[in-house]
Amino acid sequence: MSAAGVATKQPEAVNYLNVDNSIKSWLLTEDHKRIGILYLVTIALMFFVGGIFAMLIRLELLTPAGDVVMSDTYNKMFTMHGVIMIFFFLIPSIPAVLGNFCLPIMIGARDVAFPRLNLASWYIFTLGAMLGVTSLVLGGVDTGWTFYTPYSSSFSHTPVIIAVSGAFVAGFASIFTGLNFIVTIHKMRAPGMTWFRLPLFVWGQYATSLIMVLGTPVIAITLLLVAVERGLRIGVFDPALGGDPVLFQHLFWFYSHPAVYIMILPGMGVMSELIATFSRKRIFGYEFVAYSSLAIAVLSFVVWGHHMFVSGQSMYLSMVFSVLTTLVAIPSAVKTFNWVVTMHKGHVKLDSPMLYALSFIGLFTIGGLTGLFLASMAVDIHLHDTYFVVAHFHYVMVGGAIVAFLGALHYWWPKMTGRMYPEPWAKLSALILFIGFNLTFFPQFILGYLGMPRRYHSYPDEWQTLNVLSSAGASILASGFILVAVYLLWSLRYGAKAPANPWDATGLEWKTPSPPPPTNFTQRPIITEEAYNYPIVLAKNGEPDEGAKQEEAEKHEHA
Amino acid sequence: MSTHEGDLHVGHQFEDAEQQLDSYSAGMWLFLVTEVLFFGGLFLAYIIYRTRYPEAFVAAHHELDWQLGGLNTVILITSSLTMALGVRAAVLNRMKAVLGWLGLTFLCAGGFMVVKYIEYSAKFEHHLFPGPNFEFHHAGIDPGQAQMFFNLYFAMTGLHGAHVLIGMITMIILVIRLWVMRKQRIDFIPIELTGLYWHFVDLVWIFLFPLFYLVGGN
Amino acid sequence: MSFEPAKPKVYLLTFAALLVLTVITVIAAKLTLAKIPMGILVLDLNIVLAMAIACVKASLVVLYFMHFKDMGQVSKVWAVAGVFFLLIMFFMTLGDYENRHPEETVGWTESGPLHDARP
Repeated sequence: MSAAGVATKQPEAVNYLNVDNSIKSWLLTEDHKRIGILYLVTIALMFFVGGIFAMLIRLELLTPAGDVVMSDTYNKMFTMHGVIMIFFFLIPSIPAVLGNFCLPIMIGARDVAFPRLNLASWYIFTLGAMLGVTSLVLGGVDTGWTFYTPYSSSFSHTPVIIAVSGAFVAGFASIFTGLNFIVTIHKMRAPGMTWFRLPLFVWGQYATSLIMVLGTPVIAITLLLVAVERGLRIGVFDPALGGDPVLFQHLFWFYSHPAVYIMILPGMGVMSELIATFSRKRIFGYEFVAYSSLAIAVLSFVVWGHHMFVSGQSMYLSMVFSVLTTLVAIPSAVKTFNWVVTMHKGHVKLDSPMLYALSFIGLFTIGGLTGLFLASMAVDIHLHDTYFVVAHFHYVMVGGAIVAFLGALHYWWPKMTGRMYPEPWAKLSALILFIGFNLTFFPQFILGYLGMPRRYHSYPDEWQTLNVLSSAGASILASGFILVAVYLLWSLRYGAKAPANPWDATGLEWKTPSPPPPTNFTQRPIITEEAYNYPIVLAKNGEPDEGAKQEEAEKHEHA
Repeated sequence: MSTHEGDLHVGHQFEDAEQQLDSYSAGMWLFLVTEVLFFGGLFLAYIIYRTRYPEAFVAAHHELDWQLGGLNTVILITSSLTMALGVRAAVLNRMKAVLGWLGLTFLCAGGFMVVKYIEYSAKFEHHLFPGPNFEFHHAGIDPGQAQMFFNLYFAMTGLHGAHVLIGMITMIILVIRLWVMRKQRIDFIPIELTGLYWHFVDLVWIFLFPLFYLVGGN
Repeated sequence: MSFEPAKPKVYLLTFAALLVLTVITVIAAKLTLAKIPMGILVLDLNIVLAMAIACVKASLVVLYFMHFKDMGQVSKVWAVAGVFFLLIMFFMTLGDYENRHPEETVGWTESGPLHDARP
């Protein structure tokens, strides 16, 4: 096509970053790579704001007495931490930044199917984030990120409507991203790029998009109803108006449980890329890993009631939800075991992205298994709304989603920026984050089991030791994040120039220069092999071992 | 009759017009799927309160005029027909027919909104808009439960009405675009997509009409 | 994809069928059908009948006006998936309400609190 023809005539140095440096060219860009960068800047700012609240929370909990802030202020702090981290950081983190940047390149396309919609999604997201920050500036919201009615709609004296509109607006950005990815994956693949040649990151993005498209509209209408109920006193959730607050919880969790998988599924996709690249092996059981992403996405829609075991929900329905929730463990375990088996007899290289991948396996396993505890109704009655729950979802959200995000950022950083970051510092920070994270959140499992409820700013004296450990861990964790930010920013200017394929990886994105040209490829790629076509590992005697032979046979089968 | 895709503008990200048409059509259907779930939350609320307060819903629905609702149903079905014929004319590249059918559809949409306006203002006059001024007197019926009916009525028909308005704005843009590009072959993709959207708006009303105007069972 | 638009006759027939079904649904609303109690809900069979007719009308719109059969595989699969997930939401939520015991919630569904809270 003509666009590819133009690209070949340009000198090699022209890439998507230097093709036009004006601010206007960035703000009006339709290039998926630039939009990914715009998203990265936005969510990094939001992460910083959300992180400040996390540190304030841990500061307050250093001592048993509620001495740093009043309980009202504390309510606002954990709410703003939750709202910002979930709606404005985690949900767009991997899909909108790395998905936007990598997905079209990975499938051999010039861009996503709807580039203008993609840009619109960033503007809409930014508007939503600004509304979120506005609610913060106006004093902060104290409902908890879940906006439970009737407190949010009738009683809270905080700018709930603005915060809710922020989440509502950001939801549309999410819908547009998901819609774009689904059409892109279906319609824009390069010739020869069959479904089972796709990188598993793309499968993860597809499953994520499914949730974004099917779940987000429900939260949108729910939040709209909350805003209307609050603003006009007409509504369907407040018992005083004849409504049923449990209906709000059903509608809210119909989206917000799957939303957890919006955060973790792309992370799982990233994991498959990292493990394959740094073990130099095809992902073991590729099809199972691919289908398990879809299975998780579909199952995510039938488990929401496990958030409502103590809400007055029918206990018979709770039993059904309890059983269905445990089923999620199966596809998750399929993935985890397959990653571990992929590393088995592989040539494992401990570069910094791989360190994050290894962290992920350990932390996600703990987070996932404690989820099974909480899925059992009887145990959940004891642990509901305690720090056990807080620890559980932070192991999944931070230990899973953010660790995967950082792993992915380190993995694709050379491709995105054309610069290498200082590897020793990256390894050090991965270690600091791992230690800091466990020190922060492991004591919270014990605290929760001992009965410490979440969302209070004071607690009995006997829990102080564990809380001090947790706060100390949070400081280590924060310094790890700051270190990452410092050396990544440093590398933009002083980092060594990145080669096209610094990791010796196989994906299509490594076959184009770093940073990629504006149209991604100098000519349209034609795909003849699957994503993980690594050379056969030789056993000690120089002959391919049994596993390798079998793998080779499988590969031929798929070719 | 073939559609001469070759004459159409193809976006830089696409290889050919076929890929472009496929992508846009899939994108629009996906958008409509999100709309289904968007309205779905309200329908769920309706089902729950309708089955929870059955007597109040029957009593409250008598305040609505089913004949006006029926008129609006006929208007929307007619507009769906004219829209379908408009899309057909666009694919066949008949400019005058496209403009005519789109104009008729627009008139129907306007008619729908006028009827809606008449209905809404009657409700406001009779203090049937939920809120502090709500009044509902009916032996044995809890006004709070009746208010729930009107909560849902205004939420659902209001959201639907907003969709009708968006459809009308889209049609105006389509006509302007057709005029600007009148020398070229009609780019039928935007018309086709607007058509899909418009049929969806009709489809929502097909459910709203019996749910609010024909509660029945008395 | 160069899809052939349907003949005007198909659209007119669809239109006529929709009008007829509209009349039928108005008449059906005059019938009084059974009411089935389910937990704290009461299912009125009138609503079932009305929704059945509406589903037929909706199918006509999707099949003929939106020429569903000419749509690509992606659109078809996703349209069906959308309805499927909507039904999951409906039925699992209703599963809660119809299995709750009426006496457990009677305290606040009685007209008392509704009255008191009204301004």
